[in-house]
Amino acid sequence: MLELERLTIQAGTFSVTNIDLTIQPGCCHVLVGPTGCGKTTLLEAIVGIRRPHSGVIRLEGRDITDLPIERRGIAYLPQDLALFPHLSVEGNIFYGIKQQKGLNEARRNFVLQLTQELGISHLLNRGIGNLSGGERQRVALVRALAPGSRYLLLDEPFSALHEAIRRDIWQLILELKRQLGLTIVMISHDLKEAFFLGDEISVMVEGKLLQTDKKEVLYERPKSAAVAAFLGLKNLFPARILYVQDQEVIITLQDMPQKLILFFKQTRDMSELAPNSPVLIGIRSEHVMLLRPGMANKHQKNLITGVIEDVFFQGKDYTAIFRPDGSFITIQIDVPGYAASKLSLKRGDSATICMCPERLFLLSE
Amino acid sequence: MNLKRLAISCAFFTFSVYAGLVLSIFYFFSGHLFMETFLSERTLFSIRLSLIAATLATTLSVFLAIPSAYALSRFDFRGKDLIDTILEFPMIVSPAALGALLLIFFNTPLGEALQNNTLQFVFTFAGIIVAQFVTTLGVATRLLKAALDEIPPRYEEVARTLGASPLSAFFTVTLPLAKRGILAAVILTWAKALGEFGATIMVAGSMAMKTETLPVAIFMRLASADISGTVVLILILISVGFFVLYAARFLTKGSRRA
Repeated sequence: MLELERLTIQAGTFSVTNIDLTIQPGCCHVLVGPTGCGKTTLLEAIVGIRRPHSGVIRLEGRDITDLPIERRGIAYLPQDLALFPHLSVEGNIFYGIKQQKGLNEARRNFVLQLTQELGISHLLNRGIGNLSGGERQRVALVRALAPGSRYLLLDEPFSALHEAIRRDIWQLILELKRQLGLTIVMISHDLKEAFFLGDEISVMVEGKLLQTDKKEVLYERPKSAAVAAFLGLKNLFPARILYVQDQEVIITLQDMPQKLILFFKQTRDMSELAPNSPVLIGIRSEHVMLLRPGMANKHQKNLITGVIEDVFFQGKDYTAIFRPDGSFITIQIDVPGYAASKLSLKRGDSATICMCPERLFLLSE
Repeated sequence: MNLKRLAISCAFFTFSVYAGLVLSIFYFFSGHLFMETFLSERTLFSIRLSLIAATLATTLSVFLAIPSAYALSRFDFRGKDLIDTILEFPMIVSPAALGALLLIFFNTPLGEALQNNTLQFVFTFAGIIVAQFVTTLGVATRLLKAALDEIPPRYEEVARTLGASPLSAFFTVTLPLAKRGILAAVILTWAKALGEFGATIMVAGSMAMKTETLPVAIFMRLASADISGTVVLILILISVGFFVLYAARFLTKGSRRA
């Protein structure tokens, strides 16, 4: 288990403050956040490249905060991979083993087997300059894992790869994680990558961890507007609570006459639901249902009529911009390609949408 | 005249200044005198003395300059700016002044104690080494720092995550990666030591067959109005210098390719 307790790191005028994080063994934990939010600074502190200002780093219960880099036993893959250009592929891969006392034959065989599994055994005599992007990633991975560490830290090492190669590498990482029982901490600015690889995801903004959750929870229920915005949530509107009745919260949006209902259980982490208190209401664009004409049913809640302002083709799917009648706000709706063709969506069409109460969520303003 | 032409003209003018100076010595050049002077015992001694002294002084400079340059390149510490600035000291103070400073130092109680308990430096071979060492140490450190600055610290950090100690990471990663830059720095330092005159003559004097390095020999020949002999010695110094500069240039280009 990797534990960070109230970790504060000073990097010039910027600081990463009060980080509390526990990463369970065998978990892939992804740190996401905008550029310059302190993700790399945090990772470098865990590796030992940066000295924390205060706080504790524990690895399997052992305090490693002041331990030199080479004694931490953490494998690290930086963004630029830092393959040693003066060594061959073999020289790079066996560098870590050579640093250990004597060349352990069993470990050497394990590494050679790993090179075969990763399809780079034929590259051992090549120079680093003669490798493709994907080959370089594989060589760097084997080099990092060769000394036998069970903890792997990845600092956006796949960001420069082509989409197709990246997917191969993602699968490879997951396979290695299962096979070797790795615990992975990874930085990514790519949400697709974070959700593909991560078991848990932390969102970091301006040096602070805003939310750490299982990826499904984080996706469905961001805790704050900053997290929601980073996760690409487009439909986030200022609203006011009107009243709470049974298990339902009735709210009204600014600039929209219609009341909306959402379920009380969707108001996690909100201590007060006092009438008239300002809140933010959100819904993912893929959770807004665009109804075919005449398909609206009076039992459905949160039905809103309005006009399709624009339709964008996104490759596989469509995105529609919907404006409720009598309102200034717009709601973004993701429409699957097959549904869009059935609805024959056009700019200027009148339409009805449904925002299911179980899909809406509230955030403190 | 456009900017491109102006700039290229300036570059050719720079070349012609030095080329003109080199060519002018052929006005006094005499083929038979060249071999006679070149093969004379005194000249051969000067050449040998210069090569040995420059090599020893460069070795001493580089051994101290590599760790100093590494510290300046990699770490932040109190007094770093002061040390970085003082590296220019031998460049802003003339070599003659630097030599005079050495002479003054050897006349202080500390300098006298040093000479009495170790080696005699004033007017000796050891004096040549010290003069060249003091003159080249700053330049060597500056050049080596530039060579080490080109190697991202990331390589060492990654080496350490793979289990290498800081010393092992330096010797197995940083030093081999900076090899060409370091070699170029060593060659340029050696060339500077070879051509050193002011400090050498101040500390070691100009005794024939004892402390007469090539630059000192040129001065001695010129002082005795032996222009043809001076020309021969200059040609020898130029030949060695050009060879060294070409080698440094070649190695630096190689390091950019790597």
